[in-house]
Amino acid sequence: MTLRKWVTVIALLTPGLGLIIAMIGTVVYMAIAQSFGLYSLLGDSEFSTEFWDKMLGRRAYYKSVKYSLYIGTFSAILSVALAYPLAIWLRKPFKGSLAVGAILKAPLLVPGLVAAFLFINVISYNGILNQFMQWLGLWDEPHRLQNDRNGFGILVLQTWKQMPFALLLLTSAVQGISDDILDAARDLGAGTFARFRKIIAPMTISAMQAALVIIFIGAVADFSFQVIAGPTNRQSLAQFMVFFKDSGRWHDAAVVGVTLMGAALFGSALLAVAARFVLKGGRLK
Amino acid sequence: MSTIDIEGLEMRFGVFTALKDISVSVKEGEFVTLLGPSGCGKTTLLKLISGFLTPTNGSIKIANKDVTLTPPEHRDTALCFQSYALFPHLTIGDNIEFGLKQQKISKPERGRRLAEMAGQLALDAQLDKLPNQLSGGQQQRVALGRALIMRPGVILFDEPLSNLDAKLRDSVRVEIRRIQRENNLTAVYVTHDQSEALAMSDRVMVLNGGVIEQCAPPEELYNAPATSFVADFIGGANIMEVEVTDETEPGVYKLNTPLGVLISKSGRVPAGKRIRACWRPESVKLGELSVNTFTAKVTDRQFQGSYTDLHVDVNGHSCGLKTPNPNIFPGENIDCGLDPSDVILLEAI
Repeated sequence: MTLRKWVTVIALLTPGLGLIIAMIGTVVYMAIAQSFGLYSLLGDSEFSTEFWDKMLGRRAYYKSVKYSLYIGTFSAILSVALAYPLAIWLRKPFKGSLAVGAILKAPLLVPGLVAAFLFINVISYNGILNQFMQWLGLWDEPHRLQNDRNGFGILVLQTWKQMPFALLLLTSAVQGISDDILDAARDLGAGTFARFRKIIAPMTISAMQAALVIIFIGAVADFSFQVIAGPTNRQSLAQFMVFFKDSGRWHDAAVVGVTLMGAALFGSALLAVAARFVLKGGRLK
Repeated sequence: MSTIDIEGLEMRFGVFTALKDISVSVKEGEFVTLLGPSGCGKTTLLKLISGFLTPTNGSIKIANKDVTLTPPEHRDTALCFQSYALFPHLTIGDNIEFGLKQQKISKPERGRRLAEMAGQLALDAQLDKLPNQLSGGQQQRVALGRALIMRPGVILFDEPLSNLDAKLRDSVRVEIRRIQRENNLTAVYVTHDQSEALAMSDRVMVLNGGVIEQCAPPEELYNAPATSFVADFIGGANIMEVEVTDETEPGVYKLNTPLGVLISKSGRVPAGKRIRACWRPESVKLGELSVNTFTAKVTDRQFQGSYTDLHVDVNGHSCGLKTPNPNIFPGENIDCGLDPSDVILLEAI
C-alpha cells in the first residue's frame, strides 16, 4: 500500500477506532501513571517505584492475585462446561425448548448484587438449604455455608450468573453444525463423548474462547459477589483496590488496578490459547 | 458374508406411514439402487439400514446378524452423504482416517491404508488440505474414501452425485461402480435419477408411497415394468386402459384399446378383465408391421439429434413416439405397428 492509501485508511478508521483507542488508552495510561506516583489526587506528583515495591512485598497482594485468578479461571471453565450440554440439548427445537432456553437465560436479567443477597438467604444458617438438608435427615444441625473459606459460594454464584451468557454464545455455534456432520461422525464409530471432543468442541472453539475470555474477565474483577458472599479471610483484587481507594491511597489502588488489568489480559489470553491447544490435539492452527 | 435381509419393515412418524411392509434381500457384492420420487421413503429406508432410525415394525439383518436396534456406530455399514458431510476443521487425511482412529487401528496400519486409499482415489496431493480447498468432485472422492477405508460390509450412498455437474457425475458414477466391484462391497444407493439407477445397478428397487412397486434388474424393469407407476417413472411409456377380450393361443391376448384391437404377447397373464397396458415410444415400427397397426396423426415434433420425439393423435388418444426418422412433420398421417411382445400387460384397474 502507498502512503496515501495508508493515510486514507487511518483517516477512515479514526472516528470509530480512534475514539475507542483514545478512551481505553487514556484510562490505561492514567492507571499506569498513577501506579508510579504521577497524577496524584491528594499530594505531590512525582515518578516513583515505591508503590510497586511496597505492594510486591505484601503477602495479602499475592493472595489476592491468586484468589482472583482462581475465581476467574474456575468460573469460566464451570460456566462453559455446564453450558455445552445444555447448548447441545437445545440444538434442535422441541416442544417447550423456547421456554427452557428463556428460563436458563433468566439470570442475565438479575443484577449481581441482588443475586448475591438471594444466594446468602438460601444458604444462610437458618436458610432453605440448611432446613432442607435437615429435613432429608442428611444433616443433624445447620451448617455455616456462607462466606466459605474456599470461595465455593462465589463459584456457584458466578457460574449461575455467567453460564447463560456462555449458553447464548455456544447455542448459536452448536446450531451451526449440520446434522449430516454429526451423523457422519456417528456412522464412522464416534460415540457421544468422541463426537463432542472431536467434532462439536473443535467446530465451536471460537464461541468457546469468546465465552471463556469474557466470563474470565468479568469474574476475575468481581466485586459485588465477593463483598456479599465471598470468604472473609481473603480479598479479590477489586475488593483490595477499593480498600486502598477508601483509605485514600490512590497510588496503591492504581497498582492493584494495573495488576487486575494485566491479570485479565494475560489470564484470558492463556485460557483462550489453552482451549485451542487442547481441542486441536496439541496444535494451535 | 455381508448380505442384507429386510423383513416386514414398517416406519411410522406419528400418523404418517413412511414405509409399509418392506421385505427385500440384498446379496453380497450386489449393487441395489432405491429409486423413487421425493417423499417415497427411499432415504428413510437408507437411514433404517444405517441405523439412524429405528423401525416401528420389522427387522434388518446384516451378514445374518439382527441389527434392528444396533446404533449406527456399531453397525458394519458406512454411509456416503449427499452433502459429503466432511469435517471442515480436519485435513483431508484426518477426515479419511477418522473412522480408523475411532476403531483404534494402529498408526502404521492407518498410514498404510490411507496411502492406499489416497492412491486409489487420486487424492495423494490433497491430504494436507482442508475440505473447503477442494472441488466438489474431489470432496465427493474424500467422502467415498472415508467410507471405503473402513472396509465396511455394506456401503450406503444417499444421492451422492446430486451436487455434481453432469460431466463430473458421469465420471464419478463409473468410479463408484469400479471401486464397489473391486472391493466386492454390498452397496445400497439412493437416487431419484432413473438414468443413474439404470446405469449403475445390479437391481433397482422402485419405491412409491412407502411401498416397493418393483425390485428387478434394470433391463427387466425397463422391458417388463410390473405397474403403470414403474412404466411411467422408468423412461417414457404410453399407458392405456384396456379390456382383455380373448386368449387367442396360450400367452397371446386380444385387447380392446383406445388405439383399436391390439395383440399382446408379453409373457404375462392378465391380472383381470379390465387392466392397464403400456408400450414404449421407441418400440413403435413405422409402416413395417402387419399386426397391431394403427394410423396416427402427428401433432408435434421435437428433434433430439439421434432420434425425433413425435406427439401423435390416434382416435382422440394422445401418444408419444420415438423414431430415428427426422423427416416426419406435424399434420402428417403415419402408419404405426407394435410387436405383440412390446405390448406389456400391467395391473388390474
